[in-house]
Parts: sequence; structure tokens; C-alpha cells
Amino acid sequence: MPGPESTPRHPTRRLASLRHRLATLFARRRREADLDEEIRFHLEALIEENLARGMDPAEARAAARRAFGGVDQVKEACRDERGLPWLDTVVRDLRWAFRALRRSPGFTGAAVTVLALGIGATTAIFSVVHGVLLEPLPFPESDRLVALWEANPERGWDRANASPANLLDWREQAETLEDATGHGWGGGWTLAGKADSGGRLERVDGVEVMDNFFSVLGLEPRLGPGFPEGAHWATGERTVVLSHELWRTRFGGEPDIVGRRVTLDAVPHTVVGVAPPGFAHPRPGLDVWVPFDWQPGFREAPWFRMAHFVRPIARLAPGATPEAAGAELAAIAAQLERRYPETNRGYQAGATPLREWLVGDVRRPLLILLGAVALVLLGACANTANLLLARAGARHREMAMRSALGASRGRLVRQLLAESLTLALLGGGAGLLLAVAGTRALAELAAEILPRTTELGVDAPVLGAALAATVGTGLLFGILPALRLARRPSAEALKEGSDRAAGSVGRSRALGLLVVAEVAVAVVLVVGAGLAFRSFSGLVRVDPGFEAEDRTAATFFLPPARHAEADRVLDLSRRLLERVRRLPGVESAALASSLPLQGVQWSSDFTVEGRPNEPGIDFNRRIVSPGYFRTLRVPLLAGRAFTPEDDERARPVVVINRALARRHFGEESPLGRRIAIGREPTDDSLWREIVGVVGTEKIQDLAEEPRMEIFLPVGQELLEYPRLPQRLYRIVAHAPGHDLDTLSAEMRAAALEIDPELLLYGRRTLEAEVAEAASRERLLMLLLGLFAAVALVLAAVGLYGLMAYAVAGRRREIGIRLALGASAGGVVGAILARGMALFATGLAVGLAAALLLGRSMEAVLFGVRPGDPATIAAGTALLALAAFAATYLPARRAARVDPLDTLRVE
Amino acid sequence: MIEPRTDLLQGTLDLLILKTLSLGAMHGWGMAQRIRQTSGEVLEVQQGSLYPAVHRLERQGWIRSSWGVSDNNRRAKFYELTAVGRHRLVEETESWERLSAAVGRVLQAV
Repeated sequence: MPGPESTPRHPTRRLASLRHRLATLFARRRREADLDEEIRFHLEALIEENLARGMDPAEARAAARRAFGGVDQVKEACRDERGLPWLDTVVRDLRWAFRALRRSPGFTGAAVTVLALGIGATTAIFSVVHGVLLEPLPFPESDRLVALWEANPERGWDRANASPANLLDWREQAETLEDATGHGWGGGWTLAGKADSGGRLERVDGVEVMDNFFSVLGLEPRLGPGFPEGAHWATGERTVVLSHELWRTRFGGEPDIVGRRVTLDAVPHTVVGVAPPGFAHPRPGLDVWVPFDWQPGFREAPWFRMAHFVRPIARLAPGATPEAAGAELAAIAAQLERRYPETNRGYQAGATPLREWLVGDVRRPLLILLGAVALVLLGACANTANLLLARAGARHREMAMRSALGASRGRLVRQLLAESLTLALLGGGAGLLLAVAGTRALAELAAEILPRTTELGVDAPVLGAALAATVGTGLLFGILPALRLARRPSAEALKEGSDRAAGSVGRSRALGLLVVAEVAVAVVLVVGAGLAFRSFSGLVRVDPGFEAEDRTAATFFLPPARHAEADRVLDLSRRLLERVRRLPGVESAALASSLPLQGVQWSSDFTVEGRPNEPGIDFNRRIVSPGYFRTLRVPLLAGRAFTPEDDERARPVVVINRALARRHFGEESPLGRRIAIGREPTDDSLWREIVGVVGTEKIQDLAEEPRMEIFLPVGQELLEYPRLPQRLYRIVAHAPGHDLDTLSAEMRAAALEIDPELLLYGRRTLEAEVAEAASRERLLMLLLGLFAAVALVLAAVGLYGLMAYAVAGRRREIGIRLALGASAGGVVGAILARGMALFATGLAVGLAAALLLGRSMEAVLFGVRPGDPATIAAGTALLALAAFAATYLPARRAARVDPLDTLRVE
Repeated sequence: MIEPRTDLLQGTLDLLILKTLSLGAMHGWGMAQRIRQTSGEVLEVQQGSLYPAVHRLERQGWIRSSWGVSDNNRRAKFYELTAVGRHRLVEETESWERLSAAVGRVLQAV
């Protein structure tokens, strides 16, 4: 025979083996072709031999085939000997799995949806748990940081803020603390800077801090030296540290920003630093950190020790523990109590690790939530297993045939697991997308309830968890069906009609219980969502007491540094109002110290003349310009509104609202009566005459009981405090049919013309304000609605899976029934009855639970009771519909069973 | 399940293949023919065992393959022994002889 064409070289055996494996792995296709050709050659040789023996071509071919044996098997065996068998088979298994899944899109779709929901929800919640609870704080050696607090059991205070004097004493005396700092709550400043485009005005958020704020946290400013020592004592220059974001966006990231000056509320501050990127303590979105401006004389002042407005943070000294620090602080507090009995009586102090302080409150609810979501994932696994088992019934024969064709049991199990894993990976992939979106949404929505939301994200550990959940899920729901299916079948399994999916009674019962549980959960959530929806829609229909359409408002603040005198403040305010009134499209405009739905701004006592012994309490005081009631269309019920003559030189007058009139005057007319702000005045000039009664507006929220209000005209607030004019006003304009955005911009421009540092900020339409007033109810409705939808899907899929599984296991019985004359409708009906019976059980349990739990919802509901029949009826109808659909599909398939098919005798 | 049946132990089949190839390069069909003939029609190697064995031997580096042309002008895959394969053949032959001698002694014992 002729020799070979080429001679490849093999150095050593082991290397040759490896090289061979790799080479064959990558040359797969060519290899397949080669193998094919090799086998074919042999076959043809056999055929020729047979022909030579005298057989005819067809016979020769058949005989050759028979003699050769199973071609595919041989090929398979050859393949097994070559390449990296496991990698090869993995790829093949995955391909096979994909094909199998594609063949039943309904099943695949349902399973992937359920898995995506389960894995997605679990991953999202885990990312929150991880970011909030598990990750260390973003400070160096953050476990050395503690939060300090004061407590006064007599007054019922616990873990409260400290007073500056106490904090400074702790700082000096405590040896277990390396250093202690504190911050305030801060608020808004108007920022103007010469550093950029001509002193553009901007409203920024910031907090007041002590000089060592950054150093205690262990952070160096990205630029600049930071605060000088003693910066919180208002001697010398005012300083400020900018956030990295503000520096980049507003000041263009200029490297020489340090040393420049910016003005905050018209007071110049020197920039001494830029914070590290991403730094956001104590809250996200901070733009500036400004030192407290305490006068040196405050140190000994009693109020400095009594006003508790500083939130302290401290770093432990090396070797100290939080417990030791707490003990030392308690001792120091006792000392201070002895030294300053008037201010410090009953005050205790302590320390808590900072992370615990920030997240301690939310740990339990978050972990409960994680547990709940893990249960959802388990439910999703059970559902998917169910679906797989239901499908298994139809694949019994397929598996048996493959087994007969030479697949080993391990092989079959592996392939089925590959299918489960593929499903899980698909579900996991979709779930991951859901999780990413969900985490972002959660971080935004929960920014006010949860700490550290800026640090949340789907990062490496979370991805790892998601992957683990996916693979674990796949194995969990896949292993049982795989083992069942791959059971070495007896010859019986190969025969027709043996579709006994071997549903043991125990399993059916367990699955039935699971479905009932899922239905019950869905009922509770659907009813809850329905109640939340009714609440929300009821709330937005409440009459707020004023008209919000076509009205836009903004805020301005006249800082004392720039406008010291009361005259100037009044003058500017009025001039701005005039200007805005004359803008195109404006029908009316007004000033108000606060607007409705913005909360109670100023409350105290008041006295009605003639009734000195029963002071009224808890009213809201507002200062408004003459056009206010007209601009907001607040109804005038009696008397008159303010006129321009009611100014600082005229007789003091007030307007009250109906709530006050009713409460304190009943049926009598309050007009002409006199009222005083505060306790009974000593000076007759402090009495004010009631000249009008207006309708009641909603002050804090839409669901509140009517609150009492007293309105003063602009300028007359100086009566009690001549040097304290109202400096912060809202200005509101009514412009029907006009574009509110344009108007808002024009208002802003008008303000700047009057004074180049008069910034109108917080610009919003009143409709937006009213909508926001229902934001909590809206959030609740959306969240509950989302959960309810998920629960509904899970329950429906679970019910469907269970019914399909049952149907699959009873095909023969159904076939017999049909053959014996039962109508298809009867069969469908029987199955429907079973399914709906399960649903009814779940419904009953769920309704009972909903009624019980409803009581806890009462606090957040508006205008609807927890047991509201209409809501319950609607929810039940929706669920019944879903359950019906879920049961009908398998039932219909049962009716389509061909009796002949199932009756073929073995 | 229908398992690919071997009448020969795997090691023995390997030995036969190696020996056959030591006489010259051959394709699978040729090997089967040769073994049948040389054994006096006693040993019929099933294709189901021959080809996997051949592939395994190639993977282990004891034989190598290349495409050539058979005597009836068809494209076929030829195998031949490698140097390592030759060594292996000697080892396996010795060990076979030892084994069969030992079995023989046992069978002849009374």
C-alpha cells in the first residue's frame, strides 16, 4: 500500500497527548469531516466485499450497515477518545439544551420569566443589603469611627445630638478618643462666584462642620489644605470646602480654585479645599461644607450647652474600643452634670460604632426583606421544577429512546442538567438586567429612608451572588426532574402509553400546598395594592383649598449681609412683586412667607381679646401680600382681604381662616374682634383686628384635618420684632394660558435686574407641588403594585405547572375516559374544577390574611378602610381570571388527548 | 442499553493493532482484515471497538495518522507506528507472553 503523505512529529508522549487534545479541540469541524470520511471508507469497503460475494447493491448496503453496527455510536465513541471530552460535551449539551428549549417556547418563556423575577429581585435586594449593611464605610479604617450621642431619659431623649459646649468638653477630656468633630444639618446657600461666568447665582446644599471634620473621617481634601484650625470660631476669614462635583461642573475643575473667593448668601468665603470625589457625608448631593460660625463668647454661654444641634463623629484612639469610649463619655457626662447643673441635669452620653449608627435601624427590615425575597426565589425554583416535571411526562419516551441508543445514564442526567442550567442562565441574565435597573430605582426611591444609597450598585460581590443564585437555582430545580427522567427505564418505558410520570401522592400534595401558598400571597398583595391605589386616587381628588392650575412659584432670600435694614427688605420685595405683576401673561401675583402644602413654618400661641385665659395654640402664621388670596383663588368668606394700605404704618390687621373662626368663634362673626400673636400682650399696640375670613388651605398634607391660620400683611410682621423683617418669600404668579416655563425664566430675569444677587430658586408649578404631596401614597401604590404583579405571575405559573403536571401524569386515564364516552367538555370541566378548587383554598387563606394584615395598613390609607369590599371584590375577580386562564390551558390540552394514542395496548 | 461489545480486552486489542501496524501503515479496514486473516478467521474486530481504540492510540501518541490514497483509489486515513509506539509494542508483547504463560501454567495444573 502507498505510504502516507506527511509525517507529523510527536516529541514526548504526554506532550503529544495534550497537544493532540488541543489541536483536535480547535479543529473540530475538520475532525468531524475526517471521522465521517474514515467511517464511510470502511463502510464502502464492507459493501464492496458484499458485492463481491454476490449480493445485490441494496442487500449489500443493508448487510454492511448491520455488520458495522451503529455508525453514530462508533463516532460518539471515537469522539470520546479525542479532544477534551468534557469541554466538548459541555458545548454539545448546551447546544442541545438550546434546541430543546426553543422547541417549547411557551414553557421556556414562562420558566425564564419566573426565574428572572426571582433571581432579579433577590439580586437587587442583595445589592442593597450588601451596599448598606456589609460594605465597610468609605473611610479609611472606618471601624475606628464612632458616633457620639447624648441622652436624657427624663425628657425621653435617646441618642440625640450633642450641644456644642458638651462636645467641645468631650473632645478635650476624652482619652479614648483620638479626636472628635461634629456637623450640623445645614441647608441652602445662594452661591455666587467671581471665578466663573460672571457671578452666576446658584442655590447649593451644604452643612456646617467643625474644623477637623475631614481629618477625623480620615480624608484628605483632593485639593487644598482644608479648614484651618479653629475655623468654626468666627474670627477671621470665612472658609469653605467645595464638593468635587461642584468644583468640576461649576468651576470647570480649575486647579487654582484654592484661595479664590466665592460668596454664600452674600458673604465672601475663601475656598480652602475640594473634597474627594464621591464624598457625600452626611447626605448625598452636598455641594459645600462650611464651618460653623460660633462667636468666641458662646463658649461660656448657657444656650451653647443647651442647644443640641450638632451631630458628633469621633475617631477612637489606638487600642480603644467603642465600649471603653462609651464608658469614658458616661463618666465625663456625669462630671459635666455636676459642674453645670442648670443645663446638664439628667444628660448622659455614649458612643456607638459609626456604621452601626448609620445602618442599625434598617438592618432588621432589610434582612427581613432579603429573607422574603429568598422565599420568592425558592417559590420560583419550585414553580420551574414543576414546569419541568410537567414537561417531563412528554419526554419519557424521548429519554428512553436515547438511552436505548447508547447514552449512559450519567450522560442523560448531564444533558438534562445542562438544560436546567441554560434555563437558569437565561433567567439569570434577564434577572440581572432587572436587578441593575431595580437597584438604581431602589437607590433613588429609598434615598430618604436608607443610608448610604449613593454607594449602591451592582458590583463584583453582587454579581458573584447573582451567579451563585443562578447556578444554585438551576441545579436545585433541575436535579430532581433530571434524575427522574434519566432513570434506567425498563422495556416498558419504551412502549407506547406508559406516560406515568410517577407523580407520587406526597409530591402532588406538597406542590399543591405550594400553589395554595403562592395564591394566598398573591391575594394579600393584590388587595394591598388595590387599597393603595384607592388611597392614592382618593388623595389626589382632595380639594386643597386653593387652585393650582396655571400658577408657578419661586423662592427668594434677602440675606442680612447684603440687605441689613428692614426698609430695604420690604422695598425690594415689593419692587419684585410689581415687576412680576407686569410680566406678559400674568393675571395676578403675590408674595407669601410660605405656600400651602409646604408644611407648617411658624406656629405658636395666640390670644383672642376678651378671652385671655384660653390661649389658642398650634396655628400657622403666614405673611402675605394683598393679592395672595386672589392669586390662589382662596375663597373670601367674610369681610375683606388685605389692601396696599395695610402696611407697616397702618393699623395692625389680620385675616384668619375658617378653621380658626369655627374653632374659636363658632357661629359668631369674628370680624372686628382683636387677636394677638403670643401670650396676652402687655402693650395695647400689639393687638390686631380681624378684618376677614378665608377658606382653609391644606398646609402640611392633603389628608390633614383643617389647620388654623392667621395671615399678616407684608410689613406688619415687624410689629413684634421691628428688626426682623421676613427675608424669605415665595412669589407666586397666576398666568392662565401662558407657558409657565417661560414665565418662570422671565421672573428670574426680573429679579436679577432689580438686584444682581437676587436669585429666584426652587421654581416649580403649583400643580407639581400638589402632585408631590401625594408622592408617598404614589410610591406605596407603585411598590405594592409591582409586588402584586410578581406574586400574581408566580401564582399563575405555579398553578399552571401543577395542573399541567397532573394532566401529563393522567393521560392514560383521560384517554380511557374519553374512549368510554366522556365528553371533552366534561374532561376540561373536571380539571378546571380541580384547579379552581386549589385557587379557592388559596383565596380563602389569602383573604383572611389580608383582613388581618389590613389593620396594620390603616395608618397609611386614605379614604378607604382595610376591609373595603369593592377593592376585595375587584382583586378577587382579577385573581380568579388569572387562575382560570392558568387552569384552562392545560385542561384544554387534556381534552385534546387522542384516546387511541393512549390506549395502544402493550 | 446496547453496549459496544468487545470480544477482546481493550489492552489486547491495542496490542493487536500495534502489531499489525508494525508490519506497515494501514487504514482501519485494512487492519481489521489483517487481524482476521492472520488469526485464521478467529478474531473479528468489531468496528465499534476498532475505531475508538485507534483514535485512543493516536491520542496517546503511539500511532500517527495521515490521509492517503488506498489501492482502489479512494481517500483513506492511514495509521502508522511512532517510535514510542514501537517501544510500547515490545513492552506489551512481553507482558502478554508473560500473562499467557502464567494462565497456561494454571490451566495445566492438576
